[in-house]
Amino acid sequence: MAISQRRIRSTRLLVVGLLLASLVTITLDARGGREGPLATAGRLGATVMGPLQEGVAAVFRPIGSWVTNVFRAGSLAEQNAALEEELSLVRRQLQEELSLRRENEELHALLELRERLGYDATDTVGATVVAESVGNFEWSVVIDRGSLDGVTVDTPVIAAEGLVGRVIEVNPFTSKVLLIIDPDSAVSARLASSGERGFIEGQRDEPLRMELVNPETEVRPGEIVETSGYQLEEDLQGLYPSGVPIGVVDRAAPAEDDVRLEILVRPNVDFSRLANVLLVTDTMAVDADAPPSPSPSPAEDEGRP
Amino acid sequence: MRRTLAWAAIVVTALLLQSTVFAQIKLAGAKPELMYLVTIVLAMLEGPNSGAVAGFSAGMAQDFLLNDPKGMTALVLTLVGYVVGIVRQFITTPSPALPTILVGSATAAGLLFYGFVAFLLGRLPGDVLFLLRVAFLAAIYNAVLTPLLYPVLRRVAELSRTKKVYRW
Repeated sequence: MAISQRRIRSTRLLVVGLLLASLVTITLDARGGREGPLATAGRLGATVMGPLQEGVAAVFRPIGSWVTNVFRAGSLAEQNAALEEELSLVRRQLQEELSLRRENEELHALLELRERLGYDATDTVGATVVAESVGNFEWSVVIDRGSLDGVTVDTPVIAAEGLVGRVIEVNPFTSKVLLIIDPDSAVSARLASSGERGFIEGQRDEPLRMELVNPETEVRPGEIVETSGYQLEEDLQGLYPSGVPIGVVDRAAPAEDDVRLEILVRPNVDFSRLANVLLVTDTMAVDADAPPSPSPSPAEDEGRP
Repeated sequence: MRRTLAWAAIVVTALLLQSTVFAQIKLAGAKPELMYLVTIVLAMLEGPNSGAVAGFSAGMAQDFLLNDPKGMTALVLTLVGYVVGIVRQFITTPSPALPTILVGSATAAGLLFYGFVAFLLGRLPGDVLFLLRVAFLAAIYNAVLTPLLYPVLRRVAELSRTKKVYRW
């Protein structure tokens, strides 16, 4: 009896100890910020996990897309056996070709966007998405480029369809990108037609929310929203290059408090199937005040099913 | 030692799967919470003491890959492991559905508590409705995965025990 009593007490002591340790860690980390010792330890963990995630992604991405493609192709159960075998072989080859072509188109579009923004190969780095955040409360991805490739914190990340986000954590081989749909993300943006400025906030899986500096602007659904890349002083420049498409205005209506306009923006990028991205490692290479070449028509989302 | 290594390998594997494979196969936008699943199953098999330690370590491992203040998941999972370990001692049903039910309900409860802690720290990304939805979906996802993963975890627990008292 005495033994079990003691055991219960020691378990409780253990639990209380672990809870205290958690609380101390939370406090230390919240106070330490990005440069604190715990953040450094976190980067160490990510450095180890990154290459592993790359490996797993390399194995599972083709399998995953193959499974998806087979589902999409529908049932062929009625076909006779020999034909079916041949068909499945041909279909797999076709799928491979289609996915190659899609990747080719995507990379091509990415290059076009880079050209339109005025950057060249020395200012940018291409990257592939290898993993997502491990949690359900964070919208980020891991990419296969890190500090060894010249990536730094706050490096803007774009995809062929538009803005993806910015780098928030850099490790030697990988880095973590905060997506613009994360509620922690805020991007300075403007309406492409009127040039009205504002900023865009993430709302998880829902459309982005845009707030305008001038609340009396007329906004109509269908308007294109892009990054504004303002320049305040000589060398103080906005995070993102100017003129990167973000999305299209989905709805614009007075908010419940009736004072400001609530503008919902549907992002161009499909964040659930993000694959190839471009990192702008040298945003200063292009003058932020120089007007970008005119945006192409918004109907260019060939990459989507 | 052997035991620690075995469970560390499980935690790393689960984190890898969660960020790559399960990130592509989501349930209405939600990923499973494998750290919760591992902690709950371990607490069921080994009791509150091991449950709390496993929860703390698994939670810390996940925290170091997240942006939120580190220690939040560790705090939640320490409690989850301890409570599940205690509760398990009072359940006598031989039902084979017990792991599924326990994993589902404890995941939901744990995620709601995580949301509460995140709210206190001003880090909850969304409103209560969002939290309820994620807790519900992730709990369902975890419950669905339990029949697949429970036998594996139980086997590891049995093999890695230092003293094999029973063998059947």
